[in-house]
Amino acid sequence: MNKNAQMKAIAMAFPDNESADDIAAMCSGLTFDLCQTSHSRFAVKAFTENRLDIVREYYQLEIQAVIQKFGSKKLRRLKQKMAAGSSVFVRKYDKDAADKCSFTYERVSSLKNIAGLGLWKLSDGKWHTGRSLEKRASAAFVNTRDWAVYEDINFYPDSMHSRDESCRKVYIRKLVSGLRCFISSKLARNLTGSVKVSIDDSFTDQRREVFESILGLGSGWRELYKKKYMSGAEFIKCLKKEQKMLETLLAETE
Amino acid sequence: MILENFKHTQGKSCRTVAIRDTLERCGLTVKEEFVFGLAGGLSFSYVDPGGIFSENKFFKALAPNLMQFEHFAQNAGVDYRIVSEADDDFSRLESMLRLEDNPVICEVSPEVYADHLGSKASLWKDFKLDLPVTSHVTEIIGIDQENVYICENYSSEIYSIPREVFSKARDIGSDSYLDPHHRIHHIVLPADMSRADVEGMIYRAVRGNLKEYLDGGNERLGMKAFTRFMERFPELPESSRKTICRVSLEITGSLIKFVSPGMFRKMYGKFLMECVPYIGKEKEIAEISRLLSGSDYLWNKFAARVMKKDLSVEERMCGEATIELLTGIRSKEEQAIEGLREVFAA
Repeated sequence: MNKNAQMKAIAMAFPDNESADDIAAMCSGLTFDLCQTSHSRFAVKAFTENRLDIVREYYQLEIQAVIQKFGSKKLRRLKQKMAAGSSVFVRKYDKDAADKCSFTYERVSSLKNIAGLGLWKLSDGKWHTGRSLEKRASAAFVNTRDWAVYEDINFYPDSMHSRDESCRKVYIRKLVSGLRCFISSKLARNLTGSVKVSIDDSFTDQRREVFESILGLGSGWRELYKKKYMSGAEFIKCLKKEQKMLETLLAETE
Repeated sequence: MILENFKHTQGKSCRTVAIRDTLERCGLTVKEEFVFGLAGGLSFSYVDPGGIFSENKFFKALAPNLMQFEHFAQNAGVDYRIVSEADDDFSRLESMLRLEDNPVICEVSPEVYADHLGSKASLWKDFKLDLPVTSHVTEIIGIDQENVYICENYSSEIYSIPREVFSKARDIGSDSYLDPHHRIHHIVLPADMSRADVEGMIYRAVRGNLKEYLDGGNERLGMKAFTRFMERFPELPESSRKTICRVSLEITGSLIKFVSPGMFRKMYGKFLMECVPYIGKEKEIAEISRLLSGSDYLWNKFAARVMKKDLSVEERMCGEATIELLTGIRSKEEQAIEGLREVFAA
């Protein structure tokens, strides 16, 4: 399930539908994890748990993402949120999905607690027990040990603020500042000429989506990551080139 | 490993202290109040007791905004992410400490390790809510085979907590309101923030914060919640008052005094004064700051009054002195907000 399709479900709840489509398309970022695999070796992998960043940024929206299993406490908390006018979403995983991205965000339309059995009516039109939703997520959890599989999202659509700038501009600026932060951070100082960095496929896939599908920049960037392994200094150079490319794009964007 | 030359001083809020310490580590020395303002510090939330959900047994009149990391990152234009992967052997945590040389900001239920905090333990033993404390963050500054070394906002000491106890504090399981706590708040800070960056941050923070406070759609937050609290607190129907037992008022008072308006209004005033070297307008800002300090003082008096056990519930909620305090708070806060709008509108 790609992020765009996941975010579409959430975007349906936005009062401003026109921008919502753009927002859904721009929910992928360039963030990545840097892991040290041995004394002089590092690996970079895409970091994907940041779907909501652009929504927060563009609409200046307090969108809360909470991690909690599908028990009675979660049900009670979300029931309160819904009663106060909040839009609530939960992750519904594909059956037996082991990948933590194989889910859809489903809007919660009704909640019931009957004799301790939590019942969740979702935007797929069906009632689900909390236990069945939890079971769907369990394989992905066992596989990744990431508690984000139990994430729920809530926000007040009325709290959205409109921006003077286009979503595209806000998005590109966010990408630029993210790169700038990493390049000049203490984390990046570990990436010297004497260490090796291995580039995971998820890292280049993420860039392909952002540069080509979302920003329409063509495939020139692929030259940067032709090598699967490079020195730390070379890797930082690549990121600097990306930053420059995006800064130019930002200056041209209305 | 333990971070070398780590500077930590006591502060008011766990999140703002954690950001301040991280900034300091990256060469930017700022006060906690400054971070507080940049992280959306002007807020107010209120939930009626009873109402449709009887589990709200007390007035939840609070100012803290739990999205301080998100607000700070947005206003500062820095990269922020939440890491939620379980890290049972602490390897991720160790790696973050080693590679970044910054404290790792980690969500915990601190009462789990209260026995390891010495005299400071009383804070968590005395402060009783109906569930374990959630959303508290601690700064991990070191780790070895036996212990995790942490700094807490309410003390300048470094505490060592056995690894297994600390693991439990990160995942308190089914007793917790939000289970589990595996979250790590990861802020990637650049080392090259300029004066212009800081100025931009200030305007973005105050304007965004004002917009949210004044125009937010959530009835439980911002100006709407503040007005509701001012009107509803003394007017609560006789039937509901029975449910507002002495304990509830004590909790309400202690929330105001320790984690909300009773200290955050003054902090916001101090933040504004810290902004003067960057944006000028000293006279106007000093006046707003004075009003916020005044409001803070009155909130504390109000908190002390609702916690006064020798007064009746009636007197504490709608006695003459209570009404006077509420009127004073409302007047000062409204004037301060108006002043902020004038100064930061342009």
